[in-house]
Order: sequence, then structure tokens, then C-alpha cells
Amino acid sequence: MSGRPAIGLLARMRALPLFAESPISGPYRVARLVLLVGGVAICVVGAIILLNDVAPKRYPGLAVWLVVAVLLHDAVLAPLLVAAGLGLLRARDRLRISARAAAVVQGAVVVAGVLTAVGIPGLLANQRGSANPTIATTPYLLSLAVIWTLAVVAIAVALVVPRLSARRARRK
Amino acid sequence: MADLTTRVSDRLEPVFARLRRTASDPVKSTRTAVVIGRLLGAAFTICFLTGVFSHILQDYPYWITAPRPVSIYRITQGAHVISGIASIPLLLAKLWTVFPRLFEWPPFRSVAGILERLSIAVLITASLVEVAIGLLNIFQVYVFPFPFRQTHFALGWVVFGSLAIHIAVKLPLIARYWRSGPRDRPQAGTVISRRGFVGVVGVSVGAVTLTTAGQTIDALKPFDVLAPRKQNIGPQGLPVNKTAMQAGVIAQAKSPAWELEVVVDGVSHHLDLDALRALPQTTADLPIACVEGWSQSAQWRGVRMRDLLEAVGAPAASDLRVRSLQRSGVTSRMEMPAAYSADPLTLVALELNGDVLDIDHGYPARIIAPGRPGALQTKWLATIEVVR
Repeated sequence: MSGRPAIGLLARMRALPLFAESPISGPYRVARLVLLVGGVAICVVGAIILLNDVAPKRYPGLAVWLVVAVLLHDAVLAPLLVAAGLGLLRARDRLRISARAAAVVQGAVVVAGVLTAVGIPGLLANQRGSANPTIATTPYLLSLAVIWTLAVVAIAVALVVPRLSARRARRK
Repeated sequence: MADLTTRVSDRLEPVFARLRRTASDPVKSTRTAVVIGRLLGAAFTICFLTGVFSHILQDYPYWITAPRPVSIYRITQGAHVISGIASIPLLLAKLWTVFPRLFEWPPFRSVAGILERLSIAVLITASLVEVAIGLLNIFQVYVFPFPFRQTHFALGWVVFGSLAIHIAVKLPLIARYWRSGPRDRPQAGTVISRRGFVGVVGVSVGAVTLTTAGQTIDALKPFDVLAPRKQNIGPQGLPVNKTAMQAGVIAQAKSPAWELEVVVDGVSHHLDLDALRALPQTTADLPIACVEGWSQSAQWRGVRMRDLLEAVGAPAASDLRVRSLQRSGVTSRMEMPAAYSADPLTLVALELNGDVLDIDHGYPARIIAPGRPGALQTKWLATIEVVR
């Protein structure tokens, strides 16, 4: 041990106060209390519905989905988005892309990405097929191909147009 | 022990600090969280209220005294699915904004802080699963190991409740950042500014709505490239939720021996198709509006329920129990309170859009009533029993 005080995590946990800030002295006391009590009550209703209407043998499957959902977001999607943002930043600086063009690139990728996420169940439905010929009649892969083509065109225009106009300005 | 936890804690602290720094961006400010958060809160509130309304229509039909406007369910359930899909980009944007806060150190500053982070974990995971299974359900892609209807309803309450708790905790902060203040830096951001980010989120919400809402909003029909349904696609130009093949009713429904049995005070009255056609025929323009969020208006023709009831000596305003030829499943039987049976627009429909009902739309006879979910518009009628 060095000379530092031996405050471990457990000791720190034990020393935790009930509240970091006094909940009684802050603003919106009544509104916060109503929201808190109402929120807990609504959650309890949800729990009762779950206990009454969903068979207990389904709980493990639901628990897996709840845990995997948050892991997929926090450990896969969110870090990927952070990495993509940093990558775009580096590319922007290295390739001397204007701030506006970089924003268009980011926007186009985000919008097309969101549409792709919304299209995933459609792709699954196309692949699995249905006994009902009026559901998932759209070829979603084609829709997404068109959407990504539009995104790529938007990106290309954002990257190329400023360069062309800069070159034209230099010639003059 | 204390020594070990100190060492673990000392190791974790710089790791968390680094993760937090890496994930941070000036655009991920409290103001951004408030701007996106209130849009998401609005979308979730619409989802919750319309969802509860849909369950009331189905589980407590006697609470409904006047089924007007006739497209009430078309509007509320359309709004449910539209705002649910719109909440996907909003939820992702909100989580993107607050992601650095996952690495706060120390992770808890108080006992209440532990409970708060727990409630946020519940809010996040329940929201993610709720929108995911909602989206899968409208495509009838059942890849999850639990029943949709019950789980989606229960999680809806959990999401809305934990959202209220979250707002309770953050209310002073929300109020402080509700309007753009002197501390606000709308142009800050490494790649994109806040204004740009909110713009991208807005375009994303617009794009998912434009490409899916055409399954229920007539004007957006041409842009429907990602929705599970397309208006006008299906037998007689109308989609169906369950085909006669899926319901296993083809032989019985096509049988010339088919008769509608109407039971009044324990006495059965049998009406074949000719007998039904001999009764006064009424035409009604009513939407078929599915719980899955698609809807379309159609022209129905058949016998008014009140005329049918009076023909067999029952009062027009009767509580009914209706059964389909379909043996099992939620659509095989239905309760119809007197408020619907007495309604001049409630029909035992024999025709759709000018032709005899297609087998997939419920031939030989089906129910069509104003303002009810499609699941209650019973197809392939077998019996109508007057309960009261």
C-alpha cells in the first residue's frame, strides 16, 4: 500500500449518502413527486400484466431479449457509432473535406442507416415468406438498394461539387 | 478486500475516464438531450395512450358508448404505429447523445443514484425491446420467444412508467435547458453541430414516416417502400390480416349448406345466404383498420345488424356473442356490445367494393362495424348469439 487512504469500492458504497442532493429543497418538488409516484405505479401495472398474462416459462426468453438488447446497443452499436464519428473526423481532416460536406456525409449515412434498421423485419419477412399474399409484398432489398444509391449520390455531390467550383474559381 | 476493491477501482477509473472522453462530443450536450428527449417523450406518450385505447376497445368494449368518428381506430392505431416507427430514430439519437454518461465516475454518488441508474437501465432496455418487437410484429415476423400482444402491452406500461420516473429525476435539468439559454452552443460539435444533428434526426424521422405511413395515410401511398402493407394490394383491392387458408375455413365457408345461426333466448334461427340477401340491404363506407397499423376505407354492403336482430325478434340494442367458422385464435369469437349492434352502420356484410365478399375477406358473411379494430370485424360468420 502506498500512503493513500484505503477507501475501497465497498467502503465507498457503504459510505454512500441516501441522496446526492436534497430532493426536498430543489425546484418542482410537487411535480417531481407526482411523476415519481405515478411512474412507479405505472411500472407496477406493467409488472402485474407481465405476471398475469405471460406464462412463466416465457420469462427466460424475455429476460435474454432485454439483456441482449442493452448489450447490443451499449457494447456494439454505440461504440461502432463513436468509432465511425472519429473515423469521419480523421478522414475529413486528412482529405481536407469542408465541414459542410462532412455533415452531409454523416447525415446521408445516418438517414440511410436508420431506414435500413426499419427495413430489417421486411427483409426477414421476404426471406421467410408468408401464407398471406398481402403482407410484405414489397421487395425490401430493392427499396434499400435505391435508398443507399440516393445516399451515395448525395455524398458524391457533397464531396465533388465544392472541389469543382474551387477548381473553376482557380482557373478564373 | 478493501485493498482489492481499491485496486480495481483505481484501475477502472482511468479506463472509464478515457471511454468517456472518447465518446464525448460538444454536440452531445444536455440541451441536445432535452431537445431530442422531448420529441421521444411525445412519441412514446402517443404510443402509450393509443396502445391503451386499443386494448380497451378489445378487452373492455362495453366502455365504448359511441363508436364515432367511424375511423377513430384507423386514426389512433395509425398514429400508434407511425409514432412507434418515428421513435426508432429518436431513441437511437437520444442514446447516442447520452452514451458518454454510461462511463461516469464514480458510477454512483448516492443510494438514490443507484436506483436512478437502475430505472434508466429498465427504461432503455424495455424501450429497445418494445420498438423492436413492435416493428417485427407488423411484419408478422415472430422471431421472439414470448407472446407479442401481452408482452408488448406489459412493456408499454414499464416504458411509460420508467419514462415518468426519468423525467421526475431530471425535471430541474429539463426545465433549465428547455429553451436555448446563454450557455447553449448550437454550433458546437466536432463533425456536426447541434442544429445539424437535430436536422439529421428530423430528416430521419421524416424518412421513416414517409416510407412506411402510406399503409394507412392515403396521400403517402406512393412513398410506401418499407411498410409491411400496401393499400389496394389484396383480394378486391384490400389487404387481409389472415387468409381463409390460414384460418382453415375454406371447406365450411364454401359449403352450400352454410347457414348463419342467430340464437335468441335459446331459440336458434337459421338464415342461409338467400335469406340474408332477402333482408333489406344497406351500403356503408367503413375503414378496415388493423392492430398492425395498416388501414383502408372500403365500401361494404349487407344486412344491418339491427335489421337482422329485429327480423329474428330481438331488440336492435342487444349485447352479442359472435362466432366465426374459425375454430381457435383471438379472431374466432368476439363480443359486440349494444352500442355497436344498434349502430345503423354495423353490418353483416355480404359484399365488398361492389362484389360478393372474397373468401379471404370473410365469405359468405362477415361483421363490419364503425371504429373497431380489424380483429373484431369477425369473418366467416357462424353464429350470432343474443346475450342480453
